[in-house]
Amino acid sequence: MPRKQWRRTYRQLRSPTAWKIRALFWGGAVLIGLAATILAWASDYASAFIRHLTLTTPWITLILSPLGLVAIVWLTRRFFPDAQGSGIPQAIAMLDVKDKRRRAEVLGLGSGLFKGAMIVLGLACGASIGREGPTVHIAAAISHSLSKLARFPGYVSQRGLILAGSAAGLSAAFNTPLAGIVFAIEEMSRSFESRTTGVVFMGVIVAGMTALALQGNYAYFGTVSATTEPLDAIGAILLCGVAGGLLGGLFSGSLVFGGQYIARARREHPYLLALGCGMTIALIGLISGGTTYGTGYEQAREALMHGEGGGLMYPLLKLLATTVSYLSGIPGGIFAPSLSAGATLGAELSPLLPNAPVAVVALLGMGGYFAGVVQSPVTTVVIVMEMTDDQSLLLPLMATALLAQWVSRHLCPRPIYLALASDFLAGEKGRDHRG
Amino acid sequence: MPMRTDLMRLTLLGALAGIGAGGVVLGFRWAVERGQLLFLPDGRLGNYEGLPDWAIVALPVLGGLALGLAFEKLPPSLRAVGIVHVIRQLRHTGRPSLPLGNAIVQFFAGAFAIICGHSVDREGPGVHIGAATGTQVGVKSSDAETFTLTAGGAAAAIAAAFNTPLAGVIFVIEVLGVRYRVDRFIPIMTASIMGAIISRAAYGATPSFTLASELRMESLYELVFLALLGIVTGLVAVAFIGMTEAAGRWTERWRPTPSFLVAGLVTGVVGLRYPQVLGISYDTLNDILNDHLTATVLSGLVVGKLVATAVSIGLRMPGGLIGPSLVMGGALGGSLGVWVQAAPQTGSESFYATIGMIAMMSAVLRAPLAALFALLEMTGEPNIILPGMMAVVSADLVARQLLGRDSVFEHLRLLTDAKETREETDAP
Repeated sequence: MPRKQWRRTYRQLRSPTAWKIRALFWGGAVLIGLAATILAWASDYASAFIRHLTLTTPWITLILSPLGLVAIVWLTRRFFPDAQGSGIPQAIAMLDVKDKRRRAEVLGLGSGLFKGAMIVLGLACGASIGREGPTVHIAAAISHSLSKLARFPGYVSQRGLILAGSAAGLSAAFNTPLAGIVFAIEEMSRSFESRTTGVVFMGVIVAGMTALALQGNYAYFGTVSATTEPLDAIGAILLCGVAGGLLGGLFSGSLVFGGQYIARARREHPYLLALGCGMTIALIGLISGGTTYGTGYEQAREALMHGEGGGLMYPLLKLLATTVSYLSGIPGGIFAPSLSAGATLGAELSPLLPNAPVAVVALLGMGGYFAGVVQSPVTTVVIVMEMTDDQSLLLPLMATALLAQWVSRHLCPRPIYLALASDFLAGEKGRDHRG
Repeated sequence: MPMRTDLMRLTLLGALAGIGAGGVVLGFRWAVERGQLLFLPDGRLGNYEGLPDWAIVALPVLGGLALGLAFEKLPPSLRAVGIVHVIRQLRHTGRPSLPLGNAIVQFFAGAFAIICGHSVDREGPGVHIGAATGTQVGVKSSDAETFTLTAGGAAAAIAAAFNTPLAGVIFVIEVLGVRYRVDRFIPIMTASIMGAIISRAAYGATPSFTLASELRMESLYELVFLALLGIVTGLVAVAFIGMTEAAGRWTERWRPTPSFLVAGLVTGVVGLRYPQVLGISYDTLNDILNDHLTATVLSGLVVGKLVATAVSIGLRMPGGLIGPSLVMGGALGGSLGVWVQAAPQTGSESFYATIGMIAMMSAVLRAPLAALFALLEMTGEPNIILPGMMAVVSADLVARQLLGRDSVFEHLRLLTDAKETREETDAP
């Protein structure tokens, strides 16, 4: 054994600076876990609020959503224009940005906190958005801000810090530690850098533990028990893979191309756009009977646990509501609504497959649709497994995810977050030219 | 669109590679089990414990002798087998494919070594012959496609060994060093799925060993124990890698016969005290994971398995070290688990044994992510991931701090490379 390395280890273990940096990083990760928990509670509260409100007065969203969205868009444009959208594309875009000032601006603590507040407001106004993208944004902002407090050693680059923060945020948001790591590797950096994985792991552990200590142990959707005969699963794999891939690709495509299409309208008439989108969200909500508001957690859970899809139109309406919410320019993620649309899609497709249990088809539908949206098969499989506490369907799930990803690539050639990230960067350039 | 038809074709070939690799790996396993059943008492697989003392020494010694004499007859190029060989071919030669001859040598030599009780596993040979099957499927394809199919065969072999298709894919990334690219990984994942399906059809959901149920952490302060377990595991892994490398370096110039003979002798002598270390030891791992063993036996097993395996692998025995690492880690975690029971509100011995096993795999192979995927896939309990991560990361950090970033395979590869360069310069 090289004695040099023992000596180096000894030196690192007793160096106060190294411990200071370590403590700082762990402290940041604790903050991420805390922020994720608070955001989870606040968005649950906001979702409950809009649910109760629409139960008594369903038409209230016709006023609340348009006005609320306009207010959110105004606040966002006025104070933190970078806070709009999911947050994941922003974090990805900042991985490779050279301009340090710009990076600090997008991943500023203020921007992150503001985004958290706006997402709660958006949920309370009935928008169909999720909290994981914003959690990732906040987490990346926290971890990035750490680099201002201390000089991190070379191997913990700013890129590594952003990745670690994002992974920690996603892990703590859903209690899905492995999915957080895989997401950072597969979806965000699209490569496997063993240099940064150590930091990513550390961030996920500490943030995950914090969230665990605060919220207790749970699986996001609860324990789903679904088993099936392999032959019956083949039909479900094909159906969910193709349908999920098609709809997921459609959704991704409409976000990416729709975003490019209305970029000008968003620049010139942002409030009119928000008003229109809010109106549309409210109308979709009224048609669906008030189910498309919010993250869609209840509907997905119903579909997975009891096989109730909430009507044939629900997945489509949810898809539409999420698209419109995203295009309106308010802060908000697409993760949870996509899981919801996918699970209910599966539950609605299950009558076509009388031999397969409904829970199985719902689970595969969720996997297929989600894989169609994000086009990251490994992340999809891990996140579904960790959220449903089930691994007996691993092989069918993998096959569905692969098929859906392949189908979806025909509709949306680039993975959604990467496409949105480069649109975000392109938007930057446009602004620089004008300014 | 030509690119997409290519992907389609490659995916189908990947499925074929997975089926082929899964089949070959099952064939290898079948060969080992047939061989063991010929002489092991009570017709129980891996029951080397039931052999009389003289046989425990004689079996590996004579087996080593016979294998050594056979290896002397082979040209040196055919003697290169195992995961080190796969890594060398994939990453360090111009043409990324595996020669068929070496794979055939690996098949028979690996099976013979395991049957004779040498402390090696069937996963190393499995990865080699699986990857070689992938090469054969891609024999008419371009280099890039052959590379993908070979990697797919390796993934399928791991998937078939443990019923862990995702871990198989991640293993290819972390251990074989294949770079992640989405279009490349669709065929690899397909191959991995096929490997798992084949193995599941033949051996059910727990092909190699069965984990206990209800594995979970009972209270948050157990994280301290888990970190401790990780650190100790990391140190043992460093000792294992260091000893393997040292054994390899000392015996660098030895011919196969004395080399295998000594490996057999060491295994036999260790086996006199701990007969469980002979062979793959998955039957023992089963006992460890379902807490049927005492702390004394467990800690003895760690040392015994470590010495026997390090010497066998260092002396270039044609088998793998993944299985032995799992056994060592399981025994280590299990013995810590016994001590931990003194504290109130803690997880079971099985919980610690399972985590120890995974942490050791992570530290020896330097594959934390593959280890965690294996943990998730084998237990099916998402809640074990966070505690598992604690142990895995501390073990990995210790190993990285003391040995740098290279896995045990990389250390062995450098050794082989050095030897080859010297032999080339020695030759007239």
